[in-house]
Amino acid sequence: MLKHLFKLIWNRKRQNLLMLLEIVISFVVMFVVLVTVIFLISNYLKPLGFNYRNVWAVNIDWQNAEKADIAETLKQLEDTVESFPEAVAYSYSESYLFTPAAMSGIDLKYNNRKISSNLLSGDDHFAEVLDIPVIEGRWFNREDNTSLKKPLIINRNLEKELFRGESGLGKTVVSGDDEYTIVGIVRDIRNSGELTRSKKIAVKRINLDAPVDDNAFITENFGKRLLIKTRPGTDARFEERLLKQLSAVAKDFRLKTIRLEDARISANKQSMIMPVILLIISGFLIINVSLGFFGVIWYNTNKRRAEIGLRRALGSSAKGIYSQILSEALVLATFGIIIGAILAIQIPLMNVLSFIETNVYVLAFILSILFIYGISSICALYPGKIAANIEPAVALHEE
Amino acid sequence: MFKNYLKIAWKILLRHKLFTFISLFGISFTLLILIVITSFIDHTVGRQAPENRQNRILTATYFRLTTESGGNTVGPVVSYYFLDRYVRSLKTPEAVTISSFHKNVITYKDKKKFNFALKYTDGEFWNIYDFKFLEGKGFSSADVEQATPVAVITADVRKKYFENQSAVGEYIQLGENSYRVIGVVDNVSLLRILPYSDVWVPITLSKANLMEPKIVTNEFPGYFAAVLARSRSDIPAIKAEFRKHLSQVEFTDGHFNAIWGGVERYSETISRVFMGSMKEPNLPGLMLVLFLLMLLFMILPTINLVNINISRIMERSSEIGVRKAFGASSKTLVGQFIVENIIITLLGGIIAVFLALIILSIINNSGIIPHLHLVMNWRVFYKSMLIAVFFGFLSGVYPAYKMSRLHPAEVLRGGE
Amino acid sequence: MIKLSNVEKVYRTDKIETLALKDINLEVKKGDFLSVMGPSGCGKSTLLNIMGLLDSPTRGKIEIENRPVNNLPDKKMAYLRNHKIGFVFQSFHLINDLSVVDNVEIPLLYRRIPGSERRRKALAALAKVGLSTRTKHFPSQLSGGQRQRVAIARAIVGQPEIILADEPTGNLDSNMGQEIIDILMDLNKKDQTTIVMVTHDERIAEQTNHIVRLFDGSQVN
Repeated sequence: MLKHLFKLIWNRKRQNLLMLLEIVISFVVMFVVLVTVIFLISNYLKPLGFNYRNVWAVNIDWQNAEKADIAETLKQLEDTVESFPEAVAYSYSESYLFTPAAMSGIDLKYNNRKISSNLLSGDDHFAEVLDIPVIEGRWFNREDNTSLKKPLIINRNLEKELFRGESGLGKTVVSGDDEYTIVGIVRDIRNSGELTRSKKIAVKRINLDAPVDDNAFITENFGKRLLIKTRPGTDARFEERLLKQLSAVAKDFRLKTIRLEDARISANKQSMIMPVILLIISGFLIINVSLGFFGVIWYNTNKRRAEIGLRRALGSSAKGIYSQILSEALVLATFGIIIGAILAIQIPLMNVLSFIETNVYVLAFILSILFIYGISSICALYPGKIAANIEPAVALHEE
Repeated sequence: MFKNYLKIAWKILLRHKLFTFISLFGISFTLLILIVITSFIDHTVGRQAPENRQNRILTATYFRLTTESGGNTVGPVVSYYFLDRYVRSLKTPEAVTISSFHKNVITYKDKKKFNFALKYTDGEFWNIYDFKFLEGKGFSSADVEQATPVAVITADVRKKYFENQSAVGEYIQLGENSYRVIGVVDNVSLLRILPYSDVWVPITLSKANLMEPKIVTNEFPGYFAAVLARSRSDIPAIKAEFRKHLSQVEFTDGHFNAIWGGVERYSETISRVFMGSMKEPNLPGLMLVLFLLMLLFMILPTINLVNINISRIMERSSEIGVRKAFGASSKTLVGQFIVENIIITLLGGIIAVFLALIILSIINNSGIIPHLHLVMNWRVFYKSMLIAVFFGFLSGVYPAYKMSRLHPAEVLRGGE
Repeated sequence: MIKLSNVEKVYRTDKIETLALKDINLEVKKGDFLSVMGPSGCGKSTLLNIMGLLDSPTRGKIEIENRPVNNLPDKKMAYLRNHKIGFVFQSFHLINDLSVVDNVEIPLLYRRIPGSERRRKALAALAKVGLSTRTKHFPSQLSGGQRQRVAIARAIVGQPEIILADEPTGNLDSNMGQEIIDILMDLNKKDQTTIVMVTHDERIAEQTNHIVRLFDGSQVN
């Protein structure tokens, strides 16, 4: 029977061509949408790697301040924060936190391998403020003041790529003229938010005691932050007092405060804008195509009343007709899925989106297939029912 | 004849309610999405307050600088000094303004936290951009020269900070500084990125060292200039003059040795960013890409509509056969079908316009983009109708061709 | 073989009731070749539909091989149509998108028969009607007579005991029509297939064993 239906659809390929084309494109659209959605969900399910709760960030803009005074003023700010009973811990950092659009990077070389990584930076308390677990080695501390090479902390992703399965701890990597020693490994720090992918991360040390010229903190242009972890229950009144007192200390700085919890929400919103637009547009396309399918299947069924009557006369039951209409839709869907799959598979094969894991593609692939089969059968249900109700005696005698 | 066409078309549409519904759904939603996108593009680059003189305004915003060793810096990176020296000195334009890009400042009043966008600018800014003043006026070049601490605010700031009371003469505290409000203007959409801000103050109040002789500022984002041409015909001359200035740039930052950029329409700037690797504007290229994206989006709805149209025609094949047998030419029949198709597309277009009005107001009120005010103006409307006709054409050609090929004899015998 | 007792058929629409068949009593014996004759609209086709279980009578009893089949469920009816009855129609009712042999195979699709066996039987049926050379053609490439021969092949491929033919020669010229009748006669004689044929061609009806005449839904003889 299946072979018969294949033959029937194959021989009607000219009439079915447009439907087939629609299924093919729908499959590809669905695949892209599902890859996006599954990718976002799988990102969301992975651990963030740090704790943003009760943390405030003070963004510092010192463009108008005298360079020589900056480090001194920063230390004064630390003292001011210390005087707040709500502040549990604090840390200077250059890291972008919850700003998906902004990133800074570093090229690291090891054994003639050059890997580009994202770059964060923080001082000795950074891990404490953000609860970042160090899984091997240690976080930055005073020992690093005396070491000849600069200390660097990397995440597992970067370790895997840079050292190809070897342990990276204690090894020396080169970036430009600087040599770094890996002092610690962290699992992950997904600083752009839960919805973004897990990336390669390297963390540089910020040390306010270092000579001004030598301090990366000063030479880089923007993105300086004082992160303050507070006791649970601290509210916006703290923020206002904090900003006032800090501004009084650092008159030449422009300061801005933001609660990381708020920054996270807006970061997630930002990460969701494109997927939501994609979802709306493709949702509309799919509804549109489904309605079209439904109309065309219905019309084709009506056109084939005589054929259906004949099949009843030759021994098909009403249920047999019903399942024939359904099966035809599924066979057509199968043709479409096969061609669509060949096209869709090019996306992972081109490997331009290498950060998307194979599992995501596989799952999206399976779900797209199920989805197309689902839509096709839903669209064929009603026409199938109508076809099953056709009176063979009537259908065979109308011209 | 035409009236007869209309009558028949209308009857046919009513006779096949399912097909009509499916067609209308597909057409109206496809057009809806295209209208929203058109409105968005129009909102970004079209003529609209405060850029009412948009076709005479040219701006210098994004630049690309390269070093000998191949390094480069790209974006809104140039300094006030650079713009002052190479743009303000242009002879052809009527006026030139140099402003900073907006930066966010936080301020508190009565235990409430406000986050406002602040822009430093000069007196010419208010002459080039056409703000609608609800109260007071903009600051003058004299105010800027004397660094008077005055500010122009938006209606939104007045609402939040001054609780909607008259604000002119009142003071607004931003950071360490206090400014006397001298004007209140209508809100500006963030998509109008150059004039956009919540608060505007004289650029001389900026603590930055504006005249430090470097092309690239260490602020981010840096500064931009906007020039007003006396007439549209002056535009090529202004562009040429700036090109000449650009070729004579004195590289004071040491390592940079080449610069790309221009005073140009904002749409040209966008095309330079996306299509011209920041070097030269490529507006036709950008338009082509947009057009192709539009086609890509329209593929599925078009195939769908073609499919439905063919079914619609085939269902009437016996009617067509009879008409042909009684002497109707293929031409009249195709004409009938085209009228039908145009009617349904325009009908879909009208539904889409109404839906778009709803969707646009939802997007405007959602607050995704501050002060977004997408509207359905005549420009958007006629472009939408143009798209609708194009869509109708695209989906009608193949079915019409198929229809004209139907052989009356075969049709009447009931064959395919 | 088929026995109709007091069969009556009424068509009801919203307002009108049409009496299509009135008090029909008829027995078709095994190996019979019966013609049903009468003017247009006299109920010939309705009678054939009822015999072929495509339609059910409003009143009366219908038996096939002495088993009442009036109120069988749809599945059983389908089974009987498939195994006991073969249909031939005036307008052939071939599926244009299937080749000749695929068309002939259709009745076997509703039985559990392997594909190769189906093919073998279909080719045998086509050989019987003299179309062995046209098996891969499509219906549109055949003449009317050839199409009807395909339809006959399709009717006999499942080796039914009864063939119901509804004006099988109606769309054919007399030469072709005679060819078709010859094939049916042959089937009737050689294979003892029972045939009921609706026709209004007196010359053709004369060649069959019995003639039943209908007028306005009633038997006249």
